Amino acid sequence: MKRTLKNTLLLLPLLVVLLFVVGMFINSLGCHYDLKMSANGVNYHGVCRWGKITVIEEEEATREKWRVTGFQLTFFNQLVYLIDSRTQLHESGNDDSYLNEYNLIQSQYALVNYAWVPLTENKVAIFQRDPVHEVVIAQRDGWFDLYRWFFPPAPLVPGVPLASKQLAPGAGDFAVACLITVLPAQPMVEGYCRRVAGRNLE
Amino acid sequence: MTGVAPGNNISAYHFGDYVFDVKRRELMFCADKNNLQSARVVRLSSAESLIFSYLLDHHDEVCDKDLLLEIGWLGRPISPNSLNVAIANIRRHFTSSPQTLDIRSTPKKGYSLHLNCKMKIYYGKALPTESEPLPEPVSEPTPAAAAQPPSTSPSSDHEVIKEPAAPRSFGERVKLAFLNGIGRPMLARGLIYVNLLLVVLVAFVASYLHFEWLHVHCTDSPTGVVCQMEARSDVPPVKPASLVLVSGHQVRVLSYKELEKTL
Repeated sequence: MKRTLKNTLLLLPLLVVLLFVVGMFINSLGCHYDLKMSANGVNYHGVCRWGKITVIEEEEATREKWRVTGFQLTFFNQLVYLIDSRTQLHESGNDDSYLNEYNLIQSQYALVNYAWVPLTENKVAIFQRDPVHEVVIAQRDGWFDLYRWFFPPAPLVPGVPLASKQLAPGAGDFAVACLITVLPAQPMVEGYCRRVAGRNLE
Repeated sequence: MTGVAPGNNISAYHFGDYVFDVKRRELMFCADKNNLQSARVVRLSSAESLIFSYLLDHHDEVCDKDLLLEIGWLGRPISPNSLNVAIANIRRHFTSSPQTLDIRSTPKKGYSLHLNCKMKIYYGKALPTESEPLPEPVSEPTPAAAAQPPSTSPSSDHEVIKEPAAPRSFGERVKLAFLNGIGRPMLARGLIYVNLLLVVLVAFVASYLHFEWLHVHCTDSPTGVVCQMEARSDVPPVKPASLVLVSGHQVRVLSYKELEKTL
């Protein structure tokens, strides 16, 4: 009995860590978003599905184009990307390219991390520290992880009330009907309705 | 308390001139198989019976003292010397034919039982009555059995007579497997190593998070919102309905309308 108890106690931390890691992994697998942003003359377009992210980076001035792929891990408001590959899709031959330089510097790192803050329903501020401090506003359609799908974060910037916005016919009606039906309800359902409504605005 | 080892359906062990009836806790010695009247029967205590059954199940293996104490007295607090007494009592039953089996003690570890003959195991089957002769015993050690290394599986050299096991629910089987597995001393040692590894891993992850975690602090004032991360420049005054984002030396100020138009 003593040994059984001892072994059970020894198993507990293992189970807790395992549960935590598996939970984090499953949560990260739930990513489902399109991300668009512009910074330093480079347009970024990223898509994340099932934890796998692909970003196309295009420099406006030189037309240099890169594709970066990796896996996403989320932890609270932190985004950690395990970079899998960096591929140059279009080479202009221009030596003075910020994008080329950036990717060559970053190719040394397999892990990059960012923090994000929800500004509006579909806009987020993305903070970066390495290699240089940067803050970028990005348009994100979707959710970063499974938890954020069920419990969307409250935007920091007070938005225009949903009812005053012009909804697209058809699908928009569904969103409003959905809100009327379920409010007040679980934040999960409300979040879902708001997302559907948000997609059909304007 | 019947002395039946939990988790199996064994009714008896037959080895050499001995038959050990698990359910009755009786050890029967019968040198003449055709004359059961001459058989000598001794009754084992519950703890002795449980320990002896376990040693027979795990013969040629060193069984941990703590485990035997736990099995014999079902986890009740008991003096460690009780195990020595129980083993001495079991040994005493075999003084008349010491060639049949040998219970060896391994200092600081436990006990191991070594059989010098074949063993038959009866599952859920009533023992032969007095009118029936005993099954053919094999009293002489066979060369194959004698040459077997200690680690050999019991099923390879001992005949097992199986009856259909009593139906047991899946949950019950899982519980038994878990309890049998979790009580093993090897598991405890393995778990200690795994936990040590886990501590190192958690320390590594924690240090990574400590250095790499990006702390963004947002304040929501009546006029606007300020979000900053490791601000190294002064935060400009917040204009009404505007957003200020600060990351290190970089500062971005934009009104809510500009934010709507971004991208």
